[in-house]
Amino acid sequence: MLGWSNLLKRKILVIDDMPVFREPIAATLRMQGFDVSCAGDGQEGLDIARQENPDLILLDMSMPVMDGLGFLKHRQDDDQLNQIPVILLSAISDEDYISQANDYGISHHLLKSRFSSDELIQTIESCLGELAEP
Amino acid sequence: MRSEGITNKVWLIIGILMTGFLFSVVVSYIHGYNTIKHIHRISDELFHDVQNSQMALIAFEDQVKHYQEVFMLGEIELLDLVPDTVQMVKDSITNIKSRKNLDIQMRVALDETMHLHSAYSRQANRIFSALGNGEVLEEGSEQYMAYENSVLELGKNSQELKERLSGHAKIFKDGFDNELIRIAQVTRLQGYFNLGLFALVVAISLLVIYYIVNRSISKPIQETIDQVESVTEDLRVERAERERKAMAETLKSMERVIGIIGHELRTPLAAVRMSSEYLLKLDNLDKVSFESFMTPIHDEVIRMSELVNNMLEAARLNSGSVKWNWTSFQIEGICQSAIKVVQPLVDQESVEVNCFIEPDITEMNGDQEAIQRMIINLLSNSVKHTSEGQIDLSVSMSDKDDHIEIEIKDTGNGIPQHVKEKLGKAFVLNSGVVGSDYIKGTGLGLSICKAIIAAHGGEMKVDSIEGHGSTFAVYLPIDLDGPVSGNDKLEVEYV
Repeated sequence: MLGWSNLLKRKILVIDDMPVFREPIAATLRMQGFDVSCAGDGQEGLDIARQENPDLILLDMSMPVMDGLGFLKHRQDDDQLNQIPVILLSAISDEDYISQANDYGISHHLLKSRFSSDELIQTIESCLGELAEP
Repeated sequence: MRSEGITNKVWLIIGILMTGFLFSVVVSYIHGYNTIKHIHRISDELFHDVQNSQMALIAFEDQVKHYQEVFMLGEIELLDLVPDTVQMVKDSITNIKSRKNLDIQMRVALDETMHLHSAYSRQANRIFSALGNGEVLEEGSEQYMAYENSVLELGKNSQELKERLSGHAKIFKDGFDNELIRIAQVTRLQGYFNLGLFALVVAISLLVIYYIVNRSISKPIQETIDQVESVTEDLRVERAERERKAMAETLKSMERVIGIIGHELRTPLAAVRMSSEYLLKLDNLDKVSFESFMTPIHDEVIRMSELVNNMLEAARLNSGSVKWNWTSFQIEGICQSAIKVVQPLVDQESVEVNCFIEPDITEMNGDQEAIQRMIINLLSNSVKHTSEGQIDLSVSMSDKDDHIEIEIKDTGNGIPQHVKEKLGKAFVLNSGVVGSDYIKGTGLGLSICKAIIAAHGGEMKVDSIEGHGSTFAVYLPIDLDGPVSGNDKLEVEYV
């Protein structure tokens, strides 16, 4: 039963370089019944996403090695990854940057410290709901 | 070049004035010459006519006088004098007539007079000769009556001739006087004309001079003034543009700083919020979960407090109105305290922290707390960037007299070239908060160090190779009496 329920669980990949932010989000989502993976930068995020094919990606913008935009650029060129919706989590409100990210086709954008865990879950649910509808 | 131009213009002006003056003089001379020539002609011709006409009258009067004397005194010899006077009258009138420009009417009148005079003289000679020859006529006889009538006629004729001659003399004299009056008038008019001409020449010269002065002096001056005004205007616009740019730059920099502060605070705040919300949702809070989420909350709160403190400290140090607590203090004491502060942050298993202080070095003057903060900041930097090896804090006498060298040397990551250039500039380090320029840290720590070193009259040198560690060396005078002001532009020297 456990195996089947795990299969039915929707997978979410959290890409953020700061464990202090990444871990509570992961824990909150797990508590909500999601299957959560974590990555510390864009490159690691790409690797895990290709391997695990998540249903949704939560993406931080400022990261070492490969930042959010770098990740989005690679995702766009990848036929497998570009089907996965992305919610952008950013600590800055640089319009230029957000507009570039929008051009890569992100589903939502949430400003860190402005959203509660409930809002995050709501956004994720609505995102996955849109996906489920044909 | 311009002064030469002006000299030429001055000479030109003098030239114009001289030419105008010479022109006036020449015109006056021509007028004077014509007047003199006219006077000469008048004296040659008219005066000659006056003279001759008067001589004719005088000669005729003498002639008549001789006849009277012959008649009254009965001296026939006196008639011998008459031909001379007759000739004189004739000559005088002939003289007048000899002039070319004589009026034709006058010429006719003179001919008539001469004719009358000849007739008169002939008749008078005949009668007075007869009378002088003693032809005594009987009174009342026919012959006597004829003589008497002739003498009476002669008397009338002489009177008429006298009037004619005197009329001629008067005409010539009046003509001469009129001519003199005319000359006087013409001369006066010429005087006025010359004066007018001179005034005109002066006026034209002044106009030309005004034009030249206006064109070659005033105009260039005005043009220069216009140019200066234009340049001033340009400079003003340029300065306004510069100020605007500086203002825009300041605004941009402020926006960037605010953005960075936002970033620096938002992420830990978001983390704290997420962690606390998760903890609040948990029904059964076990100690492990509590610690694993409470510890990051605690760490982030500490980090945020430090950030705020550092920002306030940097702002205070850069405000230019810092109050330094200047004392003499033990160097070893503050070094040990600084190491104690950073020790908990060090991974004890892989990083070793050492402290070497030359035995001769004991005390220095300065703000003890500030120097200790500087050492803590430099040590913290090393701790952050050193994952294995060692961090050495050493204090020794510098090559420079009365200076100590505080050196913090680590075996950490070293500083990349692009970061070196931004060292010590608050909020510049991670101006690229995202992307390939991603660098942790605000730059506040080194900015604070720089301000402290500057106030202590010191210098800082950095020697670092990426991947091979960094050495920060601070040189401070040990017996400075008080803080140095105006040294806030201290630049970090890279070795």
